[in-house]
Amino acid sequence: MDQPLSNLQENSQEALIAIHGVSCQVPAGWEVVGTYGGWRKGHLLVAAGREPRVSVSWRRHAAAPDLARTLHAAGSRLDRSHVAGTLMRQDELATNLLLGAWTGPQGDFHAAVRHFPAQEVTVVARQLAPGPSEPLRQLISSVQAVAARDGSRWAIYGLALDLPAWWRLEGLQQLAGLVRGVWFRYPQGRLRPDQVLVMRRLACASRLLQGRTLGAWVQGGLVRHERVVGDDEHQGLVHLSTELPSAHLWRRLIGRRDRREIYAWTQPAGDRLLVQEWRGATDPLPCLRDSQRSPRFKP
Amino acid sequence: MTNPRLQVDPDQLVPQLAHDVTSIPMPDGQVRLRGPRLARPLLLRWLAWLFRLPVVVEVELDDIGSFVIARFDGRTLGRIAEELAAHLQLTRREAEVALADFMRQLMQRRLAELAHMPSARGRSA
Repeated sequence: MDQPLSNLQENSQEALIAIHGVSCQVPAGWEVVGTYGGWRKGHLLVAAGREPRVSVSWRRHAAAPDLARTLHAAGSRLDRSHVAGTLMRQDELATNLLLGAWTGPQGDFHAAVRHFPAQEVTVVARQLAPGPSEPLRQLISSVQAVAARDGSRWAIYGLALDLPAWWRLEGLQQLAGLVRGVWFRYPQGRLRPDQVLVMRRLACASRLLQGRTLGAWVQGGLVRHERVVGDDEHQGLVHLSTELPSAHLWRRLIGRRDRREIYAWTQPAGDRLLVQEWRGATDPLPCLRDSQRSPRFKP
Repeated sequence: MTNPRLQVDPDQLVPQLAHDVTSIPMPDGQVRLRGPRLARPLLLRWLAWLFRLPVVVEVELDDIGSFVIARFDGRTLGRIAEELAAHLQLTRREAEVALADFMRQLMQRRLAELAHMPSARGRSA
């Protein structure tokens, strides 16, 4: 990683997007409208209102790619409706960072490719609408990546959290008023996860609570046979430790119980309610509320 | 990226109640919508009478639905989404998605319809 995530300069004109170990800064007002793929490869679409702006894709591989060839391939499929033009210019902005410009009937399109050798990640950013190259230059310059063995930051759809290594996003759901993300931990890259994290961000917190306390609301959502073994409420943060019959049949037959740690808090600024739910056997995650308070994060 | 024929501009669409739908204000400030009589064949009409099924579509809205219906006065979907976002502290996209889902449910029950703004119709003609 060229620069640790914690050293990112705060800029009120930009917003941070971080997913699957790849992060970038986009101009304020741009938002993610679609995410595809996972940790090894994937892409996300960014739009400003109803106008598509850029697509950012990533791929993890040990071998160093041929950047010029990757850039050429990126330009040939800038957009489904885009008629491929001629590659007019190719600039090497920095080591392992190429920017290309295409001129087609609709205007100038740009694409950029950046490789992170230490992290074994290649990131490609493509414009989805003709325009100047400056926003894409800034975006690709701000891209950072983390290696598979490092902890990563996640900032998308209003969720923001710093997770230790080996946590992988398994599902992300954005509905009207609800964002839900599910992470599994695969310790040291194992195939079977040993811990689960679910983060939920709900809109209209005051309507959801309807005069109840946050603790009462969280307790109302416990499942049958779930037993509270510890609870704590401090500075607007509700913490419940619960035990419930194991989801695994054999563990249930021998009387083992699963452990669940639930943290809930509200964000008065956007009237949001955040629920962090961890499930596993040992080493529970701490409360991730401080990630949400980071000055770099702007919901 | 998308087919332009499928693109819908919320700023050009004006939602309104269907012509035979009545809006009944409730004492608690909420709204009940009463639609037209359900057109059923004779046999189904008899079965509906037998099982005491409703003869009209009647929907009681919560306060958010009532907030939206109160703005069916010529405002566009885009403007209603803006006002809903400000009212509930949502983002514009969240408000648009919620409003689209609400409109879809109303239109499925034939309680509401969408009209194009006159200027938009003039342009497309």
